[in-house]
Parts: sequence; C-alpha cells; structure tokens
Amino acid sequence: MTFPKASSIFALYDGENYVDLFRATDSIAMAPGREGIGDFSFSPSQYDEDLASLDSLTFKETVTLNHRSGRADSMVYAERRLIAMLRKAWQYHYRPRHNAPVVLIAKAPGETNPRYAVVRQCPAISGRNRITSEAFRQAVAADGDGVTIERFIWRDFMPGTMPSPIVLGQVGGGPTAPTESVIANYRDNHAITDVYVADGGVFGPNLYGEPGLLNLFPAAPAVGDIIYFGGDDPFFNISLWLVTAAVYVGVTFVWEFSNGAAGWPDLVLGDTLTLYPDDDIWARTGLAAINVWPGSTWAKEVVNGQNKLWIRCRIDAIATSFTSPPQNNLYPIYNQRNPYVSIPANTLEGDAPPYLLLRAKSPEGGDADETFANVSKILIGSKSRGLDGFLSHINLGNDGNPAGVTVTYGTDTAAAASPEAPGGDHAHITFATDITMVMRARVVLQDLAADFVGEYRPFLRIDGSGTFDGKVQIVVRLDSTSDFASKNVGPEIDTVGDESFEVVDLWPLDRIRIPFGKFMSADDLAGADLIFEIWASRDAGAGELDLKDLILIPIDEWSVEYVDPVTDIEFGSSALRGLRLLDDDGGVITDRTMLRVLSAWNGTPWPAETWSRHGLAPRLDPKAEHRLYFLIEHYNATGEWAGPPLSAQPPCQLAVSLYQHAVYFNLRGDE
Amino acid sequence: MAWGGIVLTENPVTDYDTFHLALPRNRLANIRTTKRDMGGYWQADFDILPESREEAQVLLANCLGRHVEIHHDYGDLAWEGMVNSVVLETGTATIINSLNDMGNDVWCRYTPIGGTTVARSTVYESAMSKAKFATKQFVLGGGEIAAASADQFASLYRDWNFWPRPTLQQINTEGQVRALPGLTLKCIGYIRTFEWMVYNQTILTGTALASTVMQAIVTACGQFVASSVIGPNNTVITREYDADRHPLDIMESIASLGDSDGYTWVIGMTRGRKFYFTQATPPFRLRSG
Repeated sequence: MTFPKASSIFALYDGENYVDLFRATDSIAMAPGREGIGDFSFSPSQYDEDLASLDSLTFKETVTLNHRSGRADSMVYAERRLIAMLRKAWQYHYRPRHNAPVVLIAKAPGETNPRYAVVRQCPAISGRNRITSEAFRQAVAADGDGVTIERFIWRDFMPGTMPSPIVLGQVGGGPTAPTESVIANYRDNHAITDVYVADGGVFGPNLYGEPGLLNLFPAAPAVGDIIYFGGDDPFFNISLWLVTAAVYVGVTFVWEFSNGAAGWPDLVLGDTLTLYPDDDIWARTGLAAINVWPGSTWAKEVVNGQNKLWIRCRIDAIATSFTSPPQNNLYPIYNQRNPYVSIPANTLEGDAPPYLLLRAKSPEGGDADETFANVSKILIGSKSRGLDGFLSHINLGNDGNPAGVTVTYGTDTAAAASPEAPGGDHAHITFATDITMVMRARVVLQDLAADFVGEYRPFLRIDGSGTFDGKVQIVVRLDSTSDFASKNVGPEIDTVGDESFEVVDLWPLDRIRIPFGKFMSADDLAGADLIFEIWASRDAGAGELDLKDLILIPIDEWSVEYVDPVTDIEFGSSALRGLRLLDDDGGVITDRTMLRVLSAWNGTPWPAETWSRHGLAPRLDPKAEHRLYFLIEHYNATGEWAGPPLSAQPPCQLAVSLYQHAVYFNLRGDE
Repeated sequence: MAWGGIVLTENPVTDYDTFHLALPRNRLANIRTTKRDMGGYWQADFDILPESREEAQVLLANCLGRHVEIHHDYGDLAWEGMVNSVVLETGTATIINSLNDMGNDVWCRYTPIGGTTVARSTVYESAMSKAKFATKQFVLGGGEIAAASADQFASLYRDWNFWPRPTLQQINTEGQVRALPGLTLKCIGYIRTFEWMVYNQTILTGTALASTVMQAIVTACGQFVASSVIGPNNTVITREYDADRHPLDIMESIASLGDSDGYTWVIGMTRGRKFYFTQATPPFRLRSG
C-alpha cells in the first residue's frame, strides 16, 4: 500500500475496507472541518515508565468532521461504514473472536511515509440532530460532527502483519549481515581449521575459510564419499549457507566422530546430533547448522595428515540416485561459538522501543528423551554498553577465553581437559584435602570492570563426577583479591550434582550489581579489574565436581525467561524441538509467546501452544547497538520432564531472527 | 522493582489435569506480594484483565488450586504459591470462589452426651476433590452430641463443601454493569497449606528435639513440600499435640522458641516449594551474651 507524498491521509482500515476521513473531493465526502483534527499531546518519557506493555498507553484523536452527500441516504451509507469500523475496533479488544485490528492510518502533508496505529475504541460520536440541522436540510451536509478515536502509538508498519526480518550484525565468523543468526550455547575462541571433501578416499583442498561456491560432496557423489570438519579444540556447531540443494533419492547419510582409534562411532540424531533446519539438511537451501555432542570419547585422529578432532558425514548407501551435491556460498563454513545476537546501531528505529517479535527456530532431532535436542527454557539478557570487553560466558577451564581473562585455582582444584567443556577444559575439584566452603576457581577480568557495569543474573554450569552432594557460591570482588577488597558474597546454593551441565542459579531472588553501588557518568572504572570467585563445598559422599563456565545474563536493560509449560510429562510435546519455532511477540501481531509447529506440508508456522514469558516482551532502545545474550536449557536425560534441575549442554542451538514495528509519538517522516 | 508476567499452571502435586495460563504484564494489575521471614512466600493478590466475560467466568470456576508464579520484569521469580480465592466483580454483583471452606477430609470433634473426654467422628472424605486439590482436612466442633449426630454433621459438611463453588457475595443495586468483569486472584504461599492439615503426634508422651518434631510434621503434613532444609535445633519440646491443631501453628510455635544459644529460628517455604527450618539469616540473638 503506497500513498502519494503530497497528500494527507487520515483513514480507518480493517484489513478489507477503508473509511477515508480526509476525502473532500467526491460526491460523498467526509473530511475534517474548520476545527480539523485535535492537537496532539504526549510525554517523551511515557514509554520509559513502568509499563505493562507498549499498548498500555492510548492517545486520543478528536476529529471534527464535515459530511457532504447528494442524498441523505448516501450519507447514511458513509456514516454506517464509519460506525461499523469503530465498532469493530472495540470488538477486537473486548470480544476475542474478532481477531483483526482496526487501524488508523495518517500522514501529514509532505511526510514521506504513512504511520499506523491500532484503534482501541471510539468513546463518542456527536453532532447536530439531522432533523433540525439547517445544513443537512439545505445541502445534505453535516457540519462539525465530533468523532473521538482512542488509538495506540503510531508505528511504521500495518499492525497485525509481519514485516521482513531486520538485518543483524556479524557474530564470530558468521555472516556479515544475516537476517537469521545462529546462537550457540557456549562461548570460546576456537574456530575449526579444516573442512575436506573426500572423493572415494581422495581428499580435496581445505575448504575452511573459502568464500566461494563449494561442493560439499564430490560432483558425482558415490557411496563412501565423505565431508570432514575438523579442529584443534572441541566444537559443537558447524554452520553453513547452502545455495544449492543436493538432488538425490533414497540416500542414507551417516554422521560420525573421531575417537582416536579409527572407530568412527555414530552421532545419533536426537541423542548426540541435531540438524537445522531439519534432518534432511543437504536437501535444503539457506542457513544450515550441524550440532554435535560426541562426548568424552571424542579424540583426535589423523585425517589427510591432520591430527584433529573430527566430525564427518558419510554417504552410506544410495538406493536410487544422487545426482548433484549440495553447495555452500555467500558465507564461508564456520563454527558458531557465541551465545548472542548482534543488532547493529540504527537498526531499531523510531522514537521509543519498537514492537519486537523474536523468533527462535530449533534444529531437528528431539524425541521423547530429555536431551539437548529438546529446548525447554531460554534466558535472554540485553546489553548495549561495554560490548567490547563484556563476555557473558567465562570458561572456568581457562581455555578459549579472550585476552584479559585469566582463571586460577584454589584448594583441590585444577584445569582438566574435557572434550565436552566449552574451550576444551573445565575446572575439576577433588575435595581431597578440604570439603568446606572455600575458593575453588578465580576469574580475573583485567582492566575490564568498566565494560561490566550493570546488573546480572549469575549462573554456573557444573557436572558432578559421581553423585556430588554439595553447595556452590559466588564471590564478586572489585580490583583486588585481598580479604579487604570490596566484595559481594552470594548465598550458598545446593546442587543436584549428578546431571551433565546442570545449571545453578547462583543468586536466586537477587542480582549482581557492578559496581556494588550506584554508578554515574562522572565515575570511572577504567583500569579496574573485576574478579569472580567460585567457592564450593562437599556435604557428604565422595563425589567430585567439574566447573564448566560462569554465565552472566545482563538484566538491567531488558531480560526475560521463556519457559516450556511441559503440558505433557510423558513425551515433553511442548518442548522446542525439530520443526518448531518460538515467537515472542511484543505486539507486532499481538502480545503473546507462541510455540509454532512448522507444517510438513508447506512450512507454514502453525500456532500451537503458549509458552510462559517470565518478564516483559523485548523492549530495546532504538538507534543503539544491542547484543542479546542467550542461555538455552533443557531437561536432563537422567531426570524427567518438568523435573529439576535443568541442564544446558553446549550443542543446544537456536536460529534467531527479529522483526520490528518502529513506533512514533508524532510524525514518522522518511523512516 | 517492576513486575513481569504471571504464570498459572496445574496443581503441582495432583495429577488431575494440565493447565497453563501465561498472563503477560498487560493483562495484570494491582500485583501485591507478601513474603515473611516467618513463613516465606505468604500471600499475593493480583487482578487479571480478562479478554471476555466468558474467560472471566471460566477462570472463576477453574483457577482454584492452580500453581502461581509471579515474575520480576527481568524474568526471575518473585513469588510462588497457589490460587486460594477468585473474586469476580461485574459491577452489580460480587461473586467469590474459594478454597477457604473446602474440605475433603472432614471429621467432627465432639463430647459424647454425658461424657467427659473428646471424641472424633468418622472421617468423611472425597477422593475426587483430593485428586484435584490435594488433601484439605476440616475439623468441625460438635459440642456435646451423640456419635451418630457427629457423623451426620461431618458427612453433611463433606457433601456440601468437598468442591468449591462460586458464591454470590454482594449485590450492588446501584452499580453499572462493566464491559468486562474484574477478576481478582488471591493466592497463598505453600506454607499456608500447613493450615490445610491437622497434626497430632507420633507418640502420646515424652519429648523430642525441635528438628525431629519439625521433620515429623513435614513428613506427615507437607504434601506440597518438594524439598526441605531442616537445620539442627536441639531445643526440647513435647511430642504430644492431641488437639487437632494446624501444623503451621505448631511449627511457628516451635520456631519461635529459637535455640539454646539465643538465636532466632524461622520456618517458611521458598522457591521450588522448598521448606526451611533454619536459623534466621543474618543470625541475630534474642538476648545478649
């Protein structure tokens, strides 16, 4: 729908019909009279207050309308359409079966683009009685009818309709301007190093980092052909951009990992492997992701002269045909190893936080087992300050962290290699000499305190060796490890202790503030270190404890939890698994958090059921650069659906896109 | 601190049905929560802005006993408990549905005619009500009556009250019907479900340590307790409570005794339906030295 720039617009639209309130030219005309459209009034800060939602505030438009028509009955027709439209607007809000909003469209003279607002209701229409009105009797005209319209804030897109996804920023080695970004459930520095296609055992060149068109299997694929992905350190994701789908019928692919003994055990879909967008990954185009969890037996092996950790996909059988291979282009193959989405500056538009819809798609593989393939909880925190030095996930194995981050160890604790740990190492506590609550691991963020100014929810990922019965605790220090340094000490938290990558909320019911008091722009933390210590005790038994990473979810700008309602504790059918997506909508369509099921027939995301939103819908300041940091959780294989604790294994993956309706208090202009 | 959304789910300990109502912040108003040192999550009230009259009526009938989680605006849990009462305001009438008077395990304490010692009638229960709401014991006071009369009284009360039903509380003849009814949910923390039960004793004579008795009460009456932390408290107390008292009352009494070092002790329930009987944090003494 386009409107000429020079014209003014003031019209109602219900998705099917218009009622033009600014039409003075036709034989049946309805246009503002001498008093015109009433003055505007708003507070620039009203959307920064403690609002229930962006639709918590309404604006009032008072219009004085003149009607004109050749016949009285024609004028009735125009009035009836106006009344019906405004009645629909009320019904949309008060009668749920009416599910399409009525929209007020407006544009001032010279304003480039129109703006749209959902109409809430019309509390009153008033005017002179037609029986005694001189204007009506003489000219079939009504002069000065008053129409009051309550509407919500202006926006740049027709309410209730989906815009295109916004262009996101580059994350890690990923695409430079994607509309869909892969989210990893860990963070480290380790890029993969090798990608090979083996044609009947003959290796091609290393495709890693190659930006051009790449065949991901030989031009004439045959049984036994393989694509290898390798790195010096553990990796849990491979992301591709497929521009050509493979053409085949009846082909069996097998995914495998190296175990150091040429055994090449299988990666099993749902248990140790998920594939995005679905399990027939090579037959798709667009973003594709492979998420792997080889486990403790993953070991380096020499392939094509390279001693690496490998995963590979092998053509196991061709029942009918394999005509042509899949091809990668546009973006080089990479491994996502960052748990955030980047929103570049000036991407979010308008005068106040826009209506945002966050869409998170999940890879395929989940089944009735509680594994990383079935996502049941997503935590997100937004940050727009200190992005250069801030990191949400700190590896306690002291491997794969950026410069300036150092982990040292306290009593009975040391780094230990683990192919399951982010970075490839974790901190292992034996409790050999001391089971009391003492410092076990200390993270020093050198000169980085300034980038961490804000408020955070701290989480710890642990893994009990055997059945660990004990507690953990966080201590935050500013600049010094001295006993006399300013510090905040968290509560002692019980762990379950026998779950892989158990997520421990280190400070339930509260948060970490950095610094510990109010921080003003006149204050300076440049050069100050920030220190996090993990303390742990063992209450009973002989269990040992692995500390994987410390996770800080920023909460002072915007933060939320999305939680699976677990409406089915036998199969976990409400989890986010293959061919599902989660929409958290702050009002692009309407305010809701909806799990959608992708139609196997045509890919339509059917609305299925509601997830819980703990907190508010996305609310991000326009113009600023943001990062949304994620922690993705699932029920554990040794637990049960809805049974605590939740775990967060590294190969959990989401593909995230964002949609916005920018909002405006008054003019939209050319945005 | 600002509020986020509220989530209602099924009763966490019965297997009656599944229920999930995620209420975004824009459908909520007047959220108030109370958390006590002695008791933990105690009570909460909030208004739901219903989408329609029909939804309001459904919620009036079908919200009781549901698990409630109230969240901060940044997502973390602020309060948890269960829906105890629902109040519907139409503008001209106020209708209430509540678990307050519901009983599905009912008996009558009475003195037989001419007798001197207190007796208890037959216990009348409702399996269906227990399956939905969990056990809620209700003890009637019968005075001096015959045993048959006591049984009749308890049976009758069970029949009338095993299932909560909306009750007209008030009519406002000068009111105006609202476009959408108002709906207020009044919630209790799980510690209050210790008022649903009756605790007597495990033995008729003697004493035990406070921690031991507390553990016995939680085991006997803590049907909503998912886990517990019961600290060591060596205060010596009686094991006799043969008066059909509510365990919450007994537990508060025990905690109020503190410990032999003069420190204050508290009981309560916190997130994840976790019961605690611990020294107050930070510890403070009731007396010096």
